[in-house]
Amino acid sequence: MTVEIIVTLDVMLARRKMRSKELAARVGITEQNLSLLKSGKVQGIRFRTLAAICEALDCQPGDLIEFRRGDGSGG
Amino acid sequence: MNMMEEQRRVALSPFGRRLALAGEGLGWAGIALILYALIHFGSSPVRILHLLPPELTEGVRALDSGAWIAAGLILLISFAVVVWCLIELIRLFAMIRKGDWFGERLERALQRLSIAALVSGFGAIIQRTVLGLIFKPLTPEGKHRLVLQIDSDDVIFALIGIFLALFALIIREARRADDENKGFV
Repeated sequence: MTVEIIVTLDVMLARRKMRSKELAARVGITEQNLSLLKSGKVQGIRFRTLAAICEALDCQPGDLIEFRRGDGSGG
Repeated sequence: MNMMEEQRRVALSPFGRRLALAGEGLGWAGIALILYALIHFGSSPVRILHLLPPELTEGVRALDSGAWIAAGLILLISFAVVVWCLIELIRLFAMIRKGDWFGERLERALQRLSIAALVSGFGAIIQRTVLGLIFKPLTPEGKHRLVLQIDSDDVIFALIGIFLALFALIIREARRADDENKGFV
């Protein structure tokens, strides 16, 4: 059984009707890094970045990342 | 050179580049001096005797051709090791000057220089003993001796070699940490 962290940032961006470019500018990271974060192709996220994203999107960390088990059942 | 290594190139300050260039220049000067010494001392048995430490040649009046060739070969090997050290050092300075001071190439260059320094340090101990054995038949009866000598230079070379090997490991760890850090946003 595999466990993974799914990044649901794109969902939150859609809800807030905000573009990646704008979020990247507000958070202070590059669009490339934001794209990597959205696709989950990063090893981790700094608390500083997470806090900035939460502030920009007015959400909680749990709205941006989700824990999933490989067999499909929720965590 | 892969993309990640290319990304690790960090330009040095002009002062740093000048320092690295000075290091390269000194390295070349060292090689030129060694080549001159090879020609100068290698051209005559008497000059070879002057080059060697007096404790090795005490009582030796002249070298026969066999001893001259043998001693010359031993000295040639030790010169070659020092030239090897200098070449590795020049390559290292060139890499640093070009901003390639955090990559795998630098780590390998440090390892090579470390090996060269260790060979030079330990080789010098063996060299003295072998030279002592070569000169043994040429010394008068009663003055024969077995030379087992460790010089402070040998210890310094060995310490430099160990330090460089450790520094290569530090560079590797730093690069690993850098890679890990790059995975975080």
